[in-house]
Amino acid sequence: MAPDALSETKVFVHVSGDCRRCNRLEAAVLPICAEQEFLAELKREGYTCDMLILSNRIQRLTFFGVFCVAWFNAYAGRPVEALSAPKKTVLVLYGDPLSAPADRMTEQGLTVALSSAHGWNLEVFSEYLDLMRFPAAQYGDDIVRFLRARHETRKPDVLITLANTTLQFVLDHRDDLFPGVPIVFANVDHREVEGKEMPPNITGLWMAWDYQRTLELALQLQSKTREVVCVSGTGVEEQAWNKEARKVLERFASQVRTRWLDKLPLQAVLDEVAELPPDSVVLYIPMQRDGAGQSVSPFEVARQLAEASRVPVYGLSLPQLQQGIIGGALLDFSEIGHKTAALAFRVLAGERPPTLSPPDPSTNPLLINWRALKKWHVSESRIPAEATVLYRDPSLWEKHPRLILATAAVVGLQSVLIVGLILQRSRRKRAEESLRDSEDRMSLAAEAANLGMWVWDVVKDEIWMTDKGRALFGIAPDTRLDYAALVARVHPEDRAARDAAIRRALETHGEYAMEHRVVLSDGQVRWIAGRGRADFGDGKPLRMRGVSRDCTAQKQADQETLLLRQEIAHVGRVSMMGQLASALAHEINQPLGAILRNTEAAELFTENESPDLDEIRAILADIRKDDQRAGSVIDRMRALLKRHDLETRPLDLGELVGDVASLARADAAARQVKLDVDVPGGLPLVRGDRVHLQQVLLNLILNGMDALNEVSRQERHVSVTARLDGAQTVEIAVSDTGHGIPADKLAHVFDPFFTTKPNGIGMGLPISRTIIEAHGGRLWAENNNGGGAAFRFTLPIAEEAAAG
Amino acid sequence: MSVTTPTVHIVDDDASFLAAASRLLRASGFAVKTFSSASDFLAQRDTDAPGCVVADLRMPEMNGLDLQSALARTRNPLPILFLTGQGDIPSSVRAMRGGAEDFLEKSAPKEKLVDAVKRALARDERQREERARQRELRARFDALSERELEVLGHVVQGRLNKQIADDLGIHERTVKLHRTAITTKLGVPSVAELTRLTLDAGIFTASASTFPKGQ
Repeated sequence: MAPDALSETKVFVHVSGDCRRCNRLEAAVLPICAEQEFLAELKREGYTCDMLILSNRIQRLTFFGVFCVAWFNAYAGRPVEALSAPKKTVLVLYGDPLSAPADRMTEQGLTVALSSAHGWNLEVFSEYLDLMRFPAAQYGDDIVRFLRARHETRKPDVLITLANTTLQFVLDHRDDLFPGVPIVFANVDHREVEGKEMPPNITGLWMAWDYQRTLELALQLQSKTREVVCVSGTGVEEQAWNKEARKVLERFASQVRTRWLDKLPLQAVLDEVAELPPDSVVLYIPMQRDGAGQSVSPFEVARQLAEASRVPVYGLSLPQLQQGIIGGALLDFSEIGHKTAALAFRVLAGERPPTLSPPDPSTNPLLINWRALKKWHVSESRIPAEATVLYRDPSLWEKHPRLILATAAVVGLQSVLIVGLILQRSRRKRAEESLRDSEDRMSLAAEAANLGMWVWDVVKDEIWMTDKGRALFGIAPDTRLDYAALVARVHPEDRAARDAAIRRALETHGEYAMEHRVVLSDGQVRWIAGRGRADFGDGKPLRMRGVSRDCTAQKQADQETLLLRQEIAHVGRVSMMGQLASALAHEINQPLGAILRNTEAAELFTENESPDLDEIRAILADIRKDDQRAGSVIDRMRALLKRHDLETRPLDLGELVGDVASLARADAAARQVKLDVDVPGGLPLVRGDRVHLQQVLLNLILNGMDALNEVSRQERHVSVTARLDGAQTVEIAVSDTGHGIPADKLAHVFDPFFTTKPNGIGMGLPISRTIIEAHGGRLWAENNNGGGAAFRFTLPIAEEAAAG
Repeated sequence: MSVTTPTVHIVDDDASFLAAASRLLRASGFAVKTFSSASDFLAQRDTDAPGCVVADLRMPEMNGLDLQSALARTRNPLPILFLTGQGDIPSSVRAMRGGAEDFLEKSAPKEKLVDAVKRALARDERQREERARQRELRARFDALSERELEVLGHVVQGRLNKQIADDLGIHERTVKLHRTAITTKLGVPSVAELTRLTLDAGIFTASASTFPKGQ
């Protein structure tokens, strides 16, 4: 916490803790203008302080409000009483400064208790008699005079004395100095009062060391102790204390030896304790006069002892703890101050001073100095439950929680940042690796697939193209490439189509895919399959990416496949014509016979003297008709027998089926088969190749007729029907009234070389299926419900017809 | 014996050939009737008319051979002459076995056709005369009583009067009486003549049951 921040901010401290002065929990809300030292001291004293930093006005006002209410609640009954209470005067007489620390602590306790006395209208005066240095025998009367003169107008209602000498002085001058004023004494050795006749109106507290519990504590903390070394002085008080101590030590005789260092000069004592064996402890009985007769401060001696001693020094008085002793059942002088004040209030209230009772040292708290514990390497685990450990070094965390938090936060943040950066770095590295990897794979794949990749910047009209791609188009590496340069390589016949496809892709935000030829510089023509996709920004084409591939080999293979398929189809047709030969001969002989008969008739008519010219004209017309009839049969045959490329164009189904029926009719007649054709007039045009489709129809009709060989003549029917199947296709069916296709053969009728006929080669149906599929249709077989089989196929409607 | 002019019946599903053939045969001096199918012919023809049939072998539904066998079952089985665009051997064999007059290609020369038609008509005439003679014979035999026919059956088999009398359980004199009645009614002088006439008339082929059993 920065001091400047403190000075600017009003801080309210809520103090609570185990108050060692009064040995009870105290809680208070103190409005203070905090200073760091003060807060630190509060903490050292074992309080917990909750600080509120009230940084703005509203918070401060709110807190004040709450605080005032709390304060009012706690002390509501008192203020009126306090204001109206009669003024009482308290005079405190302090003793000699040699035992200053003890007295000062008592004074502190007393002052706090008196100043926080609610309900009393008190005026407190203090006088320091310092009778050790200014003996009463010499200055007694002057002091009495001085005090009387000084407190003439403010006669004390109660007199509080601290230290033996002060009480003695007051008692000695009882008649001169404020006679009849009640006296409350404190910090008086019990021997001073024990057994003495005390005048009335005198009460007080005397102090007593708790050797017993101190020794118990020592043995508890250091169970291996064999010797207790008692350090003490040669003064009157010390001698009395030593006597008491010896008594107590006797009780521990079975556990430890005792050694006394009570007659040595201080320095000798210090030298001695520096050499003590580890299984010993020092018990320090406050020394006021050393073996050399020197007056010493027991408080200071405690410090020196603690510094010099090799083994822990146990003490009896609380102020010594701060000097470095390890602890003991310590007399708390500050609490004596509180108790004294309480006694004084009772006296002021008019209560009869309580009778003096022997002190109970067992209330002295067991206190342990944490720092000393560490210094002498005494295990903390042995500390009894009722003991309180003080001066515990605040842990680094307690000292600087914010700094540590901040540091930890910074370190944490930094770690997170570092980890984040490392992760990001490794991710980026991975991403880069995977990108490189995928690029490698891509180029490997592109290389392997003979793919040329390109990007066309539409705006700048610049084309980037891989070397492979350039090779495909016969363009040298490292030359600038634009659309026109690329087009120049495209076969002139394909340029318009390619342009149109690319333009469409640019206009429709789509893709283009097409195959075109390129002419290389040596005149060689290759086929390229190109595919591209346009990228758009703000609705405008920015660039187009794509791949190109040499598909010449594939084209050739396709061409060969097509030729082969056509060859097979042709073989199929020739074989079919063979089957039809006799029927077709009949079909041709029929008109030829008619022509002959007509000619012969005409000859006979002309031999008449008056020939019937009308008759002759009719004959000639019939001859012409029959000639055309014979010619058309031959034409149809020749068309079917010719080698023929697949050329699709819009076809009228009625016409197509009619042509085929007329070819098949003669055979149907010969086999006594009734051939029915039912093609509705309103059917749209289909797209297809006339010859190939006739081949399919003829094949299906002949198959149908073949299926009727076993059927009685009256039931031999083959029918060809057509109907619209959805918006895009027409379905044509060829049905017969035969015995149908056995279920186990239905799946195989389209297999090559599968046949049920004695003379069949099993190629008719596979060829038919190939032809129909080349038209984008489908050919399948099924058995009719009423008996017989049906072969059905679909054909696409011609686009013109579909659009119309 | 009919006095009607013999008619050439042409049956063909091909209208064009039907017309041409009809023209030629009319020009060649024949009376001609045309039918576009076998069933039309069977239904519409003059059942007693003399003549012949010129039919296409290959027709839908009822073909030439069917027509041939249907015609054979009628009282007026006209001779049939087949024409075909291109004849196959099994069909021609069947046609000839069925008693066809001839089997010609449609493009056969006029003379061949006209000759064949003439032959067919001549045959028809012959067959018709034969059928008339038979009918006349039968009428004579029809005059015989049951018993006389019975006796005739035995006579033509060369049995003696005595044997016939035993077989029939009648007197020999009665048998002689029956024989005299038979020869008188049939107008034949000798047994030999009687036997020839009986066989000609086909009496016992037509009615085998009249043959005596146990022979």
